[in-house]
Amino acid sequence: MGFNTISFGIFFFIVFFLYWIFLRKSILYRNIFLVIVSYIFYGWWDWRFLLLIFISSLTDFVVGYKIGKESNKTKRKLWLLLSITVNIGFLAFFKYYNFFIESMSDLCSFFGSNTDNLRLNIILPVGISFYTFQTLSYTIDIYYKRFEPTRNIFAFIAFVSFFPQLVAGPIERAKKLLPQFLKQITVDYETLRSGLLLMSWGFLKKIVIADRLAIFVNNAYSNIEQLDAITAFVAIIFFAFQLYLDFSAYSDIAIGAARVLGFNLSLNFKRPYMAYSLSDFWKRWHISLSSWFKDYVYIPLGGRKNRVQYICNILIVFSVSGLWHGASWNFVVWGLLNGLFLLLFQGFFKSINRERLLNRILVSVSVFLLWALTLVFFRSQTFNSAFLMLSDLGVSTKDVLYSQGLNKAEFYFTVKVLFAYILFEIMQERYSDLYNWFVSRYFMFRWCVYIFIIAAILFLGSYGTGLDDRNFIYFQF
Amino acid sequence: MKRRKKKSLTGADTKSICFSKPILCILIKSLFIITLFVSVILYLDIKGYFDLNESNNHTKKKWESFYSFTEKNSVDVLLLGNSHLYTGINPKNLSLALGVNAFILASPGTNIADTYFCLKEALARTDPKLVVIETYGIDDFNPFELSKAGVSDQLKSFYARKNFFVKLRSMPYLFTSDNYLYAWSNTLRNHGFIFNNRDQLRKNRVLMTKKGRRQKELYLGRYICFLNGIDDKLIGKYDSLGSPVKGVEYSYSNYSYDYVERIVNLCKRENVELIFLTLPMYERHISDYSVWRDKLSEILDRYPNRWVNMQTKPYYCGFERWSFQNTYKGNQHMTYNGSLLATYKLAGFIRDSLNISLPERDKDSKWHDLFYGSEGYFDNFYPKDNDRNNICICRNKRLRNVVLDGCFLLDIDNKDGNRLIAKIDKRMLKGLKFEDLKLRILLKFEMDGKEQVTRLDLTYDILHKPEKFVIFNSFIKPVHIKEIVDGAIIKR
Repeated sequence: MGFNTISFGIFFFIVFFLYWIFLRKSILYRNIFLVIVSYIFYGWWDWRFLLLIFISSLTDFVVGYKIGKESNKTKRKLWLLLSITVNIGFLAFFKYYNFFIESMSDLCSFFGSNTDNLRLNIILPVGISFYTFQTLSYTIDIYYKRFEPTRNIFAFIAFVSFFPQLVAGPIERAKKLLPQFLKQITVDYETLRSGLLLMSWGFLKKIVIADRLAIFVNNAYSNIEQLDAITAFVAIIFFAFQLYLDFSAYSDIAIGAARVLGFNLSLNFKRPYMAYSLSDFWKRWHISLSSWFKDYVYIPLGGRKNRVQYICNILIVFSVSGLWHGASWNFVVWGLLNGLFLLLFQGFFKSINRERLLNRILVSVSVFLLWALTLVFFRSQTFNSAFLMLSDLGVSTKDVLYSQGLNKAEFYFTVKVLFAYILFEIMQERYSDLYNWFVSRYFMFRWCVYIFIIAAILFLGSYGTGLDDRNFIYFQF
Repeated sequence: MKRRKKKSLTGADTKSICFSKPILCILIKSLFIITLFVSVILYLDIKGYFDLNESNNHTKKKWESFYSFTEKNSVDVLLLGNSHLYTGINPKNLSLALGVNAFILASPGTNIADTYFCLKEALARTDPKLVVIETYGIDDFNPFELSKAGVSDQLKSFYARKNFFVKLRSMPYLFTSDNYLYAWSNTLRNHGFIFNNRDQLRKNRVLMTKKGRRQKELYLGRYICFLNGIDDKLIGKYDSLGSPVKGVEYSYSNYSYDYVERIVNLCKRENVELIFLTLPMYERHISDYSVWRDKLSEILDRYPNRWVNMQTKPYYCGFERWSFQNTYKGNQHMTYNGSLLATYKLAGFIRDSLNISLPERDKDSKWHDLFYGSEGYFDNFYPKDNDRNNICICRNKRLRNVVLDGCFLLDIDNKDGNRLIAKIDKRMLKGLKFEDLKLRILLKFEMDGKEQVTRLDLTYDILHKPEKFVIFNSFIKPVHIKEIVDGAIIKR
């Protein structure tokens, strides 16, 4: 069940009610309850993959325990290898098997053999890319003695399967999240309020803005040959915002839901489109994944020991990150492009004096445009359609801007809302204590904002029969 | 106004209930917001601010008419199905042919699951003697995997119904949970009008200020008719491309079996006679109909209920090209003329082949008041003496070889032309083939102040077939008819 469905609303209400009324005092029963409801949540997508997440959790629980107990370095390494094999093995099989077969197919056909019969009809388990990384970080941190293993199996399984962040992150480190399952949590009004407000804000971003942008983008990408320069440009920009708003909305809802249950999840987005360089961008975009790759791939590869190693490692990390997003060469190219841009423009962005407001704006816009350009490969199904979209930037006007699923009124509404959101982010960037300012306002003002958010979702939201863009984008990863 | 002191987050106001009982506080506030918005949405729904175009919302019109009709009248024959039914059977003619109240509860694209729940709601409201289910809605479908158009039709049908408890119970069977709110609220379903249909919002705003008007004309659920039958071009398509509908491609899902069984059991529980009806498409429109028929038989033959299959003989006899919509699309409906033929065939079957006792409402003057002037009324009954628009020219008039039971001139106010009908008792023409006959009369009339006599041939009306009479008719210019001087039945 997606977050933006009635089923989730009812589910969450029941969970909230049972959790706080009956279960908050006992850690054991609370964790058992969270495991049950998380498994129900996950099983709602497809019950067949419950065994998979259970095996992955159990394996890493045992491995973590064994590594923690073992002093022999070789044996510790072997246990870690087991954890990596199981997790990456699951990921490789479910996500990348057919990709490798198809990639091999071209090579094999060159030598006259056929690999089509090796293709399997595999369904990608929802969230596998996220929870495998989460459990892997647990065993790796234990191996490097950054964290002590837990003996509380229910706490561990709850940590792996915690439903707010199970299907699309944030990818939590055990050091941060697991201890929360081992201690008593208390409820306070401020936490509940901020959690619910964050969830509402996430729904607003998703339903009012992101899903509306999706209509335009989906239409444009399915009619690439008919686009003109303006429409293609708008589609590229819209997708950059759609992706950000969709994913950050999910993160907001996940963090808000966790907060309502007394758990603190990590920030996953920090206004990436306000970044002042590409390096800064990657510290603001999908922070949990970027930091995971930095800590578990980039640094073990050697990090920045010398220039050549640095360049290689950056390209490797970004390629792998691209591949993580999808089993397709266009994702790899997307990742590589980002790595290349980071390397190429690093010096340029460093040299700019960011103290001046105009420079700051120009830098942020440049970073955004470079990012948006790479997203053409992210969004397109094939290289061909990606290049077609880019070539459409040179096509003269065909007057097709208002025939991409949004009529004129709705299109301009979308643009205005987008501008309003950008202004809001600028204010957040400038005044980091905006939330505290808000909660200290008069009661009437706050209630007007609450009512406005709900009313906007209900009456201006892009939802309903006939609109299929309701799933969060990152669920497909 | 005194400026309120800024609240410190760390130094919480411990006297506030919110900080001492946070969950209760959150629940109360959430409840308040939910109540507020539910009230607003309910208000907008009741006022119809986000309703669809009323003139096009026949599903809603049909249910409102059903509820309005059943406030003071019972429905004796209830027909349910989809567009095939509401284009294929004329409820007024059916009512008049049988002397009962017939009502058609059919909506576009209705599947058998929706038909079941509509029937359930209807039976909670009225007590028919006979239920007729059209079989086109029995299809290979899954109510949870309908196309967008299918979901939309189902939502409209659900919204138009009024029995809260029946609707509530039907909801999980008809919709996935994602559609629950849309099923109950037009506001949520059509909120997109804010961007893509502002004209409709303006119209609805105007309607909101007006009180609802009850339909004056008798409306028994039917709303659409096609006038033109199949043309030569379409025949050419059948010749070159073959039949668009392939009987071999038809199959039925478990849902089909399940809901037919539920309908049968429901009618059994309610002690209502149930028959199934298949309205035809043009014979060249379907290939391998026998395959389709056999598959449908697998479902229907499980039950003792009768099945009137007008796609096969003997019921198909009489349907010609003019009976069917001029379309090559798979879903071919009947024309107005075709529907009249089908209606009288159905009436004949009900009267002659079913052993049920229907009320004889034609003996009730109130029933006559209700139906008076409706299409088909004068084919079955007689104009009132004080009716100036539909006049009786003669009753029991002896002609050379036949007696006219009655001769009427209808719709005199229509300056484009009037229908002259003559009714002859069927028994007088026993043994004769009606299609081969015509009624020739000598008519005395007045025009431009002058009295004239003219010969007029009235043709046999193959469409209007009341139980006891044979109808001959003709359309004539508006003239003042004085009397029928003479006449006879002759062969064409």
